Amino acid sequence: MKLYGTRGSDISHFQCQMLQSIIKNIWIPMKPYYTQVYQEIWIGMGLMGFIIYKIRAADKRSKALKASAPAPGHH
Amino acid sequence: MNENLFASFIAPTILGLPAAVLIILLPPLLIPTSKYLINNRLIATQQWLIQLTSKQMMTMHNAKGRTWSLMLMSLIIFIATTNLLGLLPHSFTPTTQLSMNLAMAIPLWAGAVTSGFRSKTKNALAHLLPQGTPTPLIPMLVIIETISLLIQPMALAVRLTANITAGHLLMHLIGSATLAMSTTNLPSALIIFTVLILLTMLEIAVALIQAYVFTLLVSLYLHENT
Repeated sequence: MKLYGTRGSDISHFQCQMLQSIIKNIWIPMKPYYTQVYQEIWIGMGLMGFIIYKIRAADKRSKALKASAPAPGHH
Repeated sequence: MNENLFASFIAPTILGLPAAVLIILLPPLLIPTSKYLINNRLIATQQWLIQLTSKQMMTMHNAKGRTWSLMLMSLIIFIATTNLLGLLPHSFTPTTQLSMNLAMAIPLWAGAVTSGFRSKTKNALAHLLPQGTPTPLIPMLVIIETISLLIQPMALAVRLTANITAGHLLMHLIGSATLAMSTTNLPSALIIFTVLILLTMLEIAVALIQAYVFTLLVSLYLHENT
């Protein structure tokens, strides 16, 4: 019985198989780690993402500032 | 000469796409997993090494700390294999990039500290003041200890970056010095080549030691907080 791939909007057969394989081989064995043990590490990764965002925003701001007001003496 | 010296540290791209992702994914391919109890010699040797390292590193932790064994073992294996592969000529070492080492250090340090504050708040705060401090010094010492706590991830990342980068740079310099001297003064070129061989042996040791130091410090931060 073909449960997927019968309509145009469904994802393909191979992508379903890949997702099932990922769930079976990675998510199910690692579920207690990802959900309980590494909770604080996810918080740390959020902190790291925040730092990256701040650095990129500051870099963009300084580049925009330099581009809009070029210093005299540039040739 | 300056351009050439630091060219090996530029993150490689293939047609504009970062190849560093592929390079970082290479070391796990060298450590095969197996679903069998008794394996071939390669997998058995690797499993024996991993067991040796994990026993040595995780005995000091309690049950909560030992839930991090998988993370710490993956960390030390990744850093050690990446550093050792970087000693091959013309290869790119991801651990020379400060961005990557910060990406490893910040989540792990923040995870250890957050778990300490979450489960044992009083103990975690008590770490900020050493025992036996004279009363007038307490405010200043709390500030100093807080700063030393906040600087731990930066120190972890910069230590690894600086050690590996400096080693690679030194090998590059001494190698080019050997090449330059080989045309003019052969005996001194041989001496410099001996120095290069000794330096390579040192770099192999440094690659393994730095991986161990990184993981040990993370496990120490974890031990204080669990």
